[in-house]
Amino acid sequence: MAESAENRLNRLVQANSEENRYEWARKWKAGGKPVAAMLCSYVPREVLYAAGFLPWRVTGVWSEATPLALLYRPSWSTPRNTRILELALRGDLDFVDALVGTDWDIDLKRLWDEWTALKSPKLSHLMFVPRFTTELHQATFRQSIAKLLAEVEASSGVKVSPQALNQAIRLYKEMRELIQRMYELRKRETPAVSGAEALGITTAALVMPPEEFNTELKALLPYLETRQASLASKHPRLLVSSDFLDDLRYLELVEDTGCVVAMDDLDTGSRYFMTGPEESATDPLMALAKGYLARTGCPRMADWDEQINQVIKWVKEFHIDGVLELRLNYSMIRHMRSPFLKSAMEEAGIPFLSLPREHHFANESQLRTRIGALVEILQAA
Amino acid sequence: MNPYEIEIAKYERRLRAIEEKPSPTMLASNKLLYRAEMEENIEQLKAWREGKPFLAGAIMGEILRSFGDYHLVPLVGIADRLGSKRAEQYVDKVRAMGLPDYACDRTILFLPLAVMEGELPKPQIIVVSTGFCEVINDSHRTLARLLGVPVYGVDVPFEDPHQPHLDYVVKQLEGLIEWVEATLPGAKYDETRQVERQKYAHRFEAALHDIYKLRQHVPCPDHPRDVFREPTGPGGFTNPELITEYYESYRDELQERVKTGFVPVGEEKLRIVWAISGPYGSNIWDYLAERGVSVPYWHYGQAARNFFKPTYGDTTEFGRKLTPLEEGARQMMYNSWAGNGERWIKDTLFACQEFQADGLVIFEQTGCQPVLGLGQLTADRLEKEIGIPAWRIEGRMLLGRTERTEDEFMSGLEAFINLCFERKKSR
Repeated sequence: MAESAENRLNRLVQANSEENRYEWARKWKAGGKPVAAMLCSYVPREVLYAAGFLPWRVTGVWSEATPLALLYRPSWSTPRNTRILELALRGDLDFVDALVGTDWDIDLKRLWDEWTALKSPKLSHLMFVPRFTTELHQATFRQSIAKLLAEVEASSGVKVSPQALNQAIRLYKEMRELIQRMYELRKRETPAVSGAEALGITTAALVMPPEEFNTELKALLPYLETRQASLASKHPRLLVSSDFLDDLRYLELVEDTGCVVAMDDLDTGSRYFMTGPEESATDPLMALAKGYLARTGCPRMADWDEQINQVIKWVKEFHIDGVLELRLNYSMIRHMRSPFLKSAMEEAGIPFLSLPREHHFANESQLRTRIGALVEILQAA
Repeated sequence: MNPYEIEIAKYERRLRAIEEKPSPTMLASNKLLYRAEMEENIEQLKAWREGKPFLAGAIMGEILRSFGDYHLVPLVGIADRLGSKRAEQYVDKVRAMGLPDYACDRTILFLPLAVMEGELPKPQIIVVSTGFCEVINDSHRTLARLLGVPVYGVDVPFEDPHQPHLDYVVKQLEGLIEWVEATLPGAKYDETRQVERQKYAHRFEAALHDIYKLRQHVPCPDHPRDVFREPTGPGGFTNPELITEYYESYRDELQERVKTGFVPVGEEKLRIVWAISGPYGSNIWDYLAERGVSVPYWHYGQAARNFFKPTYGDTTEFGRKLTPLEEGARQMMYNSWAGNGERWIKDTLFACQEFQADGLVIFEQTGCQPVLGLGQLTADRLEKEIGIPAWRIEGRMLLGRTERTEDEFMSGLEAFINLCFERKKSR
């Protein structure tokens, strides 16, 4: 009997769950092909894919303590990176052939240092990503991408042609377009998917082989067109802003308080998928540099005004009633931007709440109370 | 009293104390340092009262001073000198502003001060840069937004300088020139002025290099308290002459000490390298001196550049003389804690070897992102490659300093020094 569309959707949503996320890498490796662990959304996956790697975004351990990593990382470092290091030190990530990090912030850079020093992956590369987006910075980012390309070519023995790069760009562009169609369906009064489901789908896209993901989502879109997410309440509609959020339970908790997360401002969501690189017959590396720098920036980028204005645009476009910021604990740059996001929201008349969170699902009761209070106020409005 | 008045009073007290009862172990040239610091504070206070323009920046003073007679608000330096009691008051304000209180003390404590009217002059522009301590970059950027003043950022790659990256930084400095001239009324970049300033910087760095070289001498001619003093170059001073003289005089004095065999810790029994930061105002340095422990090298972000990286005028690295802007760019690209972790670890190990250390204290300043997570890696490598122990201790330079934390710190330090003595005996 053919699998129901709902079951198929659930499988996709759970593709990055703690039980399932390794399966994609294992299958890829079973085909004799290498896996590249990506630490950040600024790593151009197209380059890795074109060289035969499965670009696989690493998620930290959710369910257990981190005794090994805490020998190296202080209590005030971001828990997401500590939880990734724990996995690496436990040996759970020994299958990784290449590790690619960036200077998203120093904390992430140091995770790369620790993983590299303690586990010596076959290929370990740290990318420089400019904090500005002018032509000069694009050109320098292009050099940085070219350097990554040279390293993956040397490691894999695969010479990547401009055509192969363009093909990868096309594939990921298709992925983005499919996800954008799914986001369109979130604009409805009753969105086709809940916020948690949407995050499940976008995080699936970050670990699954792109063709397989595209096939799945393409097949599901007609069903999603007709679907109404099962939600405790359709009102108020929230936008959630955060970084490195990949545990669906956070958004399930938010929605469980009686609202719908109808849009996000996440590097694991809209910031990665709403725009992206275009093919280029003349210089695909430059196309990648431009595409990755042109996307809505993470707080580490200098264009805070543009980032905040984009949130305001999304608020209008997705009929959002309030913005909930879930700051990853000890993410210094997010925390520094937070007061400005708050004041911009106040100025725009958008209700706003900022709360700290762990990487793994924790402090449920406190979060439920605080978010519940916001939801209640918005429901009464 | 505002921060300038507090500083002026402090240096007056110090100078008086030296006049009345000079310490036999401290440098006589410290008088010049205190005079230079006092005069700079007087100068800035006067300029502020006269309504003269101020700039702020996490970037080299030599460049910012090339635009005219502007004064630079030394925000990090002001945070450094708050003292624990005032620091606790200001961190409460940092929290109230919704900003992170877990950032390193010196990187954030100036924020409430700078936004409080009447405490500090308001800069007309702020220039920030990555490539050293990125939290300072971020907090200066934050300050620009809080004050509503224009900000310009220079993006410095984390790798060692090579031609494309040097060009990248130079182009951004050229952009900075255009931006400052367009943003700041009356500002005009003057290369001659920058060259003049770089001459002072060159003298300062040459003297500093010699100071580090002299500290390598066994026994070390410098007192641990003087070693643990962050060098402030002439770029930070309106009048660069006196501070430059201080470093030259400091060097001469160390030379004299080597010649006469004067050792400020008495008989030198042990040498340790100190890394990152330390609890300000504590008596650790006197304790170490009393036990015959020299601290010939304090390792922090810029220390390696002060000593063993190419300096102003060097032509070997790029095979040619660099332009003034290139010189500035190169200086921005050598910082031990701006690169990947390997840069910091290698520089630390190199320093421990060069300075013949018997042990390394890694003071892991809470919130110091540049060295986040590198303590254990450094300690492991140190043991393996050089065979000396390291003490990793987390603490804060200003905040959370209670009698209990001080006692704990001192007993930990004592235990580590004892360990180093034991290990030295068995080597």
